[in-house]
Amino acid sequence: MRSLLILLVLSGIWVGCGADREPGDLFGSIEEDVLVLDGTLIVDQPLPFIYVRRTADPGQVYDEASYGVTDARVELTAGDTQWSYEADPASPGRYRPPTPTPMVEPSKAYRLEVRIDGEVAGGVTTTPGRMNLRRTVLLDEKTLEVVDVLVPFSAGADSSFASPTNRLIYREGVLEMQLAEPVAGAIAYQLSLTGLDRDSDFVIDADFLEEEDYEEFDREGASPPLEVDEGLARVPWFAVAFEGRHILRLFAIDENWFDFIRTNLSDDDGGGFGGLAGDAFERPIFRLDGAIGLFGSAAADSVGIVVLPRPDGD
Amino acid sequence: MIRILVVFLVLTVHAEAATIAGYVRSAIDGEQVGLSVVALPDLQLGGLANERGYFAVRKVPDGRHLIVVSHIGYQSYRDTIDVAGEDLRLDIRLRSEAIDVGVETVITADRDTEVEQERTIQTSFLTIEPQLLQQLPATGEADLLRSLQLLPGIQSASDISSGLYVRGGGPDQTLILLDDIPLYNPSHAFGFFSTFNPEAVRDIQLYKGAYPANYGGNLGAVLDVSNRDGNREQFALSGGVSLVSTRLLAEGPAGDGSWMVSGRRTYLDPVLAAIRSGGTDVPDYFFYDLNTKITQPIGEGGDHLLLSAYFGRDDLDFDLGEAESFFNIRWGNRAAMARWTHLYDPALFGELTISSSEYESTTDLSFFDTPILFQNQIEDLTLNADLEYFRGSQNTITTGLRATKYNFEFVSSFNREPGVDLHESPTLLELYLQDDVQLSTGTHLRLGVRASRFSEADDVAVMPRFSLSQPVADGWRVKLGGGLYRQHLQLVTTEGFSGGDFWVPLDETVGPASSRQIVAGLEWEPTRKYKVTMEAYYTDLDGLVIIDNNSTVDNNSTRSEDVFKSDGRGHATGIEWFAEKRTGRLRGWVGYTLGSTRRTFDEVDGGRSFAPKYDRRHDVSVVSSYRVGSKWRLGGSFVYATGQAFTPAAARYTLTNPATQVREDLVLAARRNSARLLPYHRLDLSARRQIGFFGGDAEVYLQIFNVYSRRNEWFVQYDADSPDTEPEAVKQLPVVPTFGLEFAF
Repeated sequence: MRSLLILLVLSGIWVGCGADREPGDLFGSIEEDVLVLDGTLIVDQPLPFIYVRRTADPGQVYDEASYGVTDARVELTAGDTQWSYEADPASPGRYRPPTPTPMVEPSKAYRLEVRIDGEVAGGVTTTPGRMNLRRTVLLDEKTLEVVDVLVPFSAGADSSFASPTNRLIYREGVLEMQLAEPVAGAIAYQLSLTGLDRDSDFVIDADFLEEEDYEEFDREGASPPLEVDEGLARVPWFAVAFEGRHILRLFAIDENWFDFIRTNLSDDDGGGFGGLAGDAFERPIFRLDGAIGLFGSAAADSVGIVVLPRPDGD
Repeated sequence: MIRILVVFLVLTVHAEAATIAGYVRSAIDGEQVGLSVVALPDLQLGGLANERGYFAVRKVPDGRHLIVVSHIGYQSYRDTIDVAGEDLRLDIRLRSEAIDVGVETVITADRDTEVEQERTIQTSFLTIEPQLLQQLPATGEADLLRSLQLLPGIQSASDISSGLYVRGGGPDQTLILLDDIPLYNPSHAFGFFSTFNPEAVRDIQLYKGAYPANYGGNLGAVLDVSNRDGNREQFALSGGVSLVSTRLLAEGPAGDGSWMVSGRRTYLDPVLAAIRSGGTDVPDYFFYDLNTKITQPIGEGGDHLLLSAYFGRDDLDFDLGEAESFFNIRWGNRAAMARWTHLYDPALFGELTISSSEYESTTDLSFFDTPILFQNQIEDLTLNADLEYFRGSQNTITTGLRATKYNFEFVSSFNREPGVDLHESPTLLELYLQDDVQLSTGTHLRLGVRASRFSEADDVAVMPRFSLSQPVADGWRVKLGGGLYRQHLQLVTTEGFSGGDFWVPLDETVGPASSRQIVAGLEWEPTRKYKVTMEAYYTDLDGLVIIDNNSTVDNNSTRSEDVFKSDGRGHATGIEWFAEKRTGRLRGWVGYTLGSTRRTFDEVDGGRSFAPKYDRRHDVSVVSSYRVGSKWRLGGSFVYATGQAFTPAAARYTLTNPATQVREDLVLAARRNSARLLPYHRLDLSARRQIGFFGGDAEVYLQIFNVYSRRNEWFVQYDADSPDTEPEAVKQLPVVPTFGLEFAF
């Protein structure tokens, strides 16, 4: 009897000392059905799709079809011109611009307004001026002197990819994009790299990477916001993981885009001590009324490169 | 200014007669015993020795008088002295009290003189015996800062952090001094251990709040640690071997003074090398530190020269061996000081100190041929002049001037592109005046004022401070303290690891942070064995800053307003209970804090007030050490604290990444720190046994950290890439048994 009592007491202590709980217990007060607006304008590109959705319970699988808003009235205004968007029946929550689709103009204010049963949401973005890349160059990694000048994308995609100067051996030299002049109205800049050959092999190869590490690499990636001092943006080689054709884009971004990407740390994967852990997990700056999301704009210029594996396989 | 004051004070002093003055030292090794009580009971005269062990009692009439000198941990010294119109110089040696085996010395000194001690005058003040800290259960080896986390009002960030969060303040709000030199990053192993070698520490003084005017520069608290001067009587060797490091201390007489050298080094590197040879990628890591001190009397007039130095280094090296990928981080402190102690007169004690402290860290890494470098350094050169005038048993006046020249450097580069290039050299001038006066029997008032001018922000401040102590019944005492405080330097840190921490001066774009503190306490000391205190505190803060994580990556601005979110406000308030048993076989304490801390920044969470991570509503600690027979000593500690605040997720949504046009699943944060981790609790135990060791004394010990292996929560992270958001509470350390050996010859 005494042994049983001791066992019960010890079991009680053991259970009481447990520090496990259900993942759902770690959520805060749930904010379901908050309106989410999603649309970015690129100067000299056609008006984009606008997406209207709602937030979901954080513990649930996010099904875009279920959370897309299909009965919204979506209007875009620039000066005296107004465009009414139409719901796309093929994709719940997606709204199409009118056809023929007008082009986004530089240095212009665009207002987005979304109405759903008396609920009104929206925001304003002012597009930056046009961007002109002066040139994209390959530098010697020791002397930082120009080794090659790449053929710009504006010369045509084929000639850009076909040019020997745009065929880069992985981790040889430093790739640098040079602006002709600062872009008017741009708050900051952002680089993106998109792999076009979807089945190309990894160019990255190191024994210290595990099998599951390779699964983490994407064919698309973007930098954090950059200041681009002196009109120069250097591309880190660790951003490149695959062989083949890539498009390298430099965006000159507006305030909405800048505020969102600099404050949205959600894709840091928790990162141990940064990212979503502790004090770094904050609600991004959305710059929208009545909704969360992003309605921003940018000017962009691109260059095409072909990444080749190192001859020694290192 | 100082010269005029000296002349004035010396003239005043020479108008008086028969001063009894001298140093109080330990009879075992000649180490100075600061803050001892010196009393001439039949004359109702007395005073308090200063931190260097120097005392002066003035206006002693001719005749034969009894003198009693007492200090906790030592047997009272009693002697008769003959005074015949001449000043008298005494060198008093106190013998250790065998408090561990329960022998209690009868104290015959008047209670009225005993309560003169600093810890009685000053609110929120604690002195801690290094020996007791070494006996507490620890992870790996005894650690000063981690042991202090067991006191009420002091929290830790995690099991692996030695950072001090005192009464709702961050680690940078506590001034940490080693032999009067500020240490800017007092940690090894990314914060796991502090830089203080327990072997070398002689004296630990902690002001948890409302600290006096002779300290400055930080908003909250002061930890003042002094290393041993060295054994003046004989050569001695002591040390310890733990699973983490080996420590060694050598000391001995040098002329009429003493010397001390102590060192500590990890031996993790051969262990890690052996793991690496087995094919596992692990970094190479080690730390070491070195303390040294020399004291030497100059002439017969009581002058002393003291030289002290500290050097510590951490080095983590991870060479991935290919693809131009490696990671190297090095950081450490260097500090040195020279102090001349001069007696202008038996009643006028002066010190002139020149010191320098430097902290630097370098993070040098390359990932697939993309080099990244961060280098930062803070260096100061300080000239300090202090005067202490023992005006009588009822009055001690202290004044000082401090001039500090800082040098800050922060340099970064990314992908061969230069980034931040900060070089600042501000100066800080400070002047203080403090008067300790005994208003009536047992009633003490300490009034002080500190003025400062910081060149970087062109900020001039005058900061009054006070402390009042009043007996209200036999054994009962009330205390009140408060003051204004200012801080011009800001630590930029990640709360998890401390390796890449750096300090920057706050310039005129954000201005200094300031605090206003008030502390009220009630103390009951029925016998010398027991003491119970209750203190209530309130701190109001403004001008706070936090690092802005959201600026652009290559933002090269060095203006404070571009680096920090500023204009933060906040408060910390609470009540602490502390019951201590100080002598006998069983020693230890029970502490409880009921507290609340809040911060508000216009740019954070819409300007809503939030609880910082280290806010704790409840904080309990029970600490004990029990001597069994003559050879065994058992130790235990239990802590319980309210869970840390964290920011939970409130919803999920998707957005198109504007740069890649790829749809991304995102998690929406709820209000900042609006949820809590589970309560933290932990039990640690230790057992120590004395053994013979090559003719010397030694102790072997076994200690068990987190006996019942509670996996306390550390922080919460979310995997936004999974189809359904899975929050995960990352856990802290499980049960960790360690053992080791300490020896002394």
